[in-house]
Amino acid sequence: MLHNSTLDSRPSPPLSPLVSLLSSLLLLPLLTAPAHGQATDSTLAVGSKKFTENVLLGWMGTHLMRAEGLSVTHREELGGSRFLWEALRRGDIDAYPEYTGTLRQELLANVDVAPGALADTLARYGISMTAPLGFNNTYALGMRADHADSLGIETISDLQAHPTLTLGFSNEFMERSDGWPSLERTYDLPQSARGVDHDIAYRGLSSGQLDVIDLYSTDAEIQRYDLRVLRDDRNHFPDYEAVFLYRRDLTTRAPAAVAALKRLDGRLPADTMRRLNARSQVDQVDESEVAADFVNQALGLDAAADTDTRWERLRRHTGEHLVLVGISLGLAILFGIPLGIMAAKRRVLGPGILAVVGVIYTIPALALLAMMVPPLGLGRVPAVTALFLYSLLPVVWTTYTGLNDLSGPLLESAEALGLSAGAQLWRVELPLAARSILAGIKIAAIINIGAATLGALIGAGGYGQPILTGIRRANLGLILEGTVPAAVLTILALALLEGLERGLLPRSMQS
Amino acid sequence: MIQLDAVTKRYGDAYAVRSISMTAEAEQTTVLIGPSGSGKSTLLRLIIGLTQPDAGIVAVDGQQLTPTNVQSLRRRMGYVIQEGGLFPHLTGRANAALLARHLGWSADRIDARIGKLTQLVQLDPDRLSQYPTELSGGQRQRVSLMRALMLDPDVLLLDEPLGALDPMIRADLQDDLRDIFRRLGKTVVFVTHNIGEAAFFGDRVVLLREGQIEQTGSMTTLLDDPASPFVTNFIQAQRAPLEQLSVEDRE
Repeated sequence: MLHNSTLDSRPSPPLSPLVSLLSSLLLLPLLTAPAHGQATDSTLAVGSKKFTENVLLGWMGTHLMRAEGLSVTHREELGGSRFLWEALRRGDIDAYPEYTGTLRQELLANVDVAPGALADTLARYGISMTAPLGFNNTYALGMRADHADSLGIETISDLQAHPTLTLGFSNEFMERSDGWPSLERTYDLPQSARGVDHDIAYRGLSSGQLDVIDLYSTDAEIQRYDLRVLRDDRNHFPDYEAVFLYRRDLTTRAPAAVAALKRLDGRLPADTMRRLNARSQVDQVDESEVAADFVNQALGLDAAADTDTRWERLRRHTGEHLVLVGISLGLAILFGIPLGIMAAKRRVLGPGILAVVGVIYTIPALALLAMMVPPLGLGRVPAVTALFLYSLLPVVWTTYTGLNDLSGPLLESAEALGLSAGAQLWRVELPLAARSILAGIKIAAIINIGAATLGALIGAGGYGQPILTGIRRANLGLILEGTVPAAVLTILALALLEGLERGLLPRSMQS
Repeated sequence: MIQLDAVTKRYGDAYAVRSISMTAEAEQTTVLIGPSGSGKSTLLRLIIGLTQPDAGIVAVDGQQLTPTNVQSLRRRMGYVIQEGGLFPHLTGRANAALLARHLGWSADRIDARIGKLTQLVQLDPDRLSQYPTELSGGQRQRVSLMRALMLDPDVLLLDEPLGALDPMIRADLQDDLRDIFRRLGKTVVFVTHNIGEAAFFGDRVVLLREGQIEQTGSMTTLLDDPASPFVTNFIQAQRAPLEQLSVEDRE
């Protein structure tokens, strides 16, 4: 999970010039209103990825900067390393926690980074990094501590002497170039290994069916299941040392912020990080609180956690979700109906328009969101743009079919009456196609409300935020805090549209 | 007056209308009659400009129909089709008033005109607030006629306006229509395939066959002095069953 995410390795987006053009035209009004948590001139923004450890580090950075009297927002749980990297380079965020291995293997994979030259390479991108925070969150092998003790195993090399041990590794680890295939060679291990699901692996370990599994060296489960992390005595696994990345211009813009981040240098050894991860993941304590407690104890701060009640969160997420859905759906109607009319009326343009909105719709919503980040950064603007594009199809197509399916004699009656083409469209054709168009708007609303929950991945907030946190912490309550209101909103939106249909359409046009 | 001069209309290789020249005199009813596919509806569509001729000229009151003047000329012609072509999303009143509203008539002027037309076509005024689906076939055609007459056009074009009605209502409406045509002095072109209707309405009858004119004249001329065996056969085909019946009755 940590070192690999589908969003991180996507190719460069083919649509982005079109997307930037469209969005800069459509979204000017939005650009003037910064989204919740968006960095403005005086406010700094810290970002974090969508897994517990990174969120904790993000909160630590936030608390530390705030302790310097700076105004800081934390845009937590963003969709992947690539998003944060792009956002940092664009200036949407000023700092975020990253891992040296991710920089070398993914973000700078195309760049030849000499050993020890990582900081110099980053400087070319206008980015600086702090010294390592103290832990190395890399792949590791683990055993039950009592079992390891009884066999006297401390390092991976020690496994050679115990050929009967059962090894179960996550499927990703079985495949990765730095995973089992090369590990087996480096250590000349006599055992064979089988692929298992990571969550099942922990249970297999405690029940004794498995003896050795792969894990990340700061996993909360190490604490929870009392595991021994075997030392990588032949330095097989690459380093994933945690650091903070920040924009170079922060040194002049807000030197206190850089100084604040540097206070974490070397303060987080692996066992400390593991303990903090466990407190958040196992004990379900809010990351903001865990991070505040840590910086208060270790660095003498008196940071207070951001604590919202469930109702405050619900109100905020509802507001954010309504903005995403309202603006994108409004734009989809505003542009979708004229596009549908053009598709129906212009024989040359028509098939092109239908094909383009069709193709946009075949892009998975998640990928469409991801494509918005390089040109548009994080937050509301890219999310609204993606949702707008995604909602176009039903509106355009139902407008098109609604107009195309009108009966010939009716159209000829309108024409023979001597109405101008515009009056024909406005007074006859669109009213007759209204039911079909309204059906399209209903479908668009349903799609939009659902897809908008993904907006949280690019920092747009909304009902997706508690869902993300809930999935991460395996907390059903939090997941429901997002899904239930989204379902309620869908029902309300449909009721509203039904009411609109009854109000707008004459009785002869109602079902 | 409507003039067609050597008008030809092709759909692919098939001729719908083949070099037809004819005149529909002012304030008279010209009936276009003929079997299915003889081109009578196409002629009507050429006159109102719903389709353009491949060759020849269509002129209304001396003005040749062109893409630039077709819209204004259409407003001087009323057009009624078989099922009425009423817009289902509008009430009877809104259907009749649609064009006048588009042209910016005042509400008073529209109300006055609607009131007059309601009397003329003998429609119960309460029906006007109903939608087409809530009206009977005969009522729909009366509203359709109101819509066609709204701007008081000189010309009325009717494409089988009674074709979908049951016989009793049809007879009723026939009488009313002929009365209206005569009273208003409209130039009427009336398409039908029914000999009885042609005889009832037609000051002049134009019999078409495969896109060409077979014979033009009064119904009496067509009966007494048929131009070809086809004319006799076409008329006899509709008259024969009735005559046979009356012969048998007499016996």
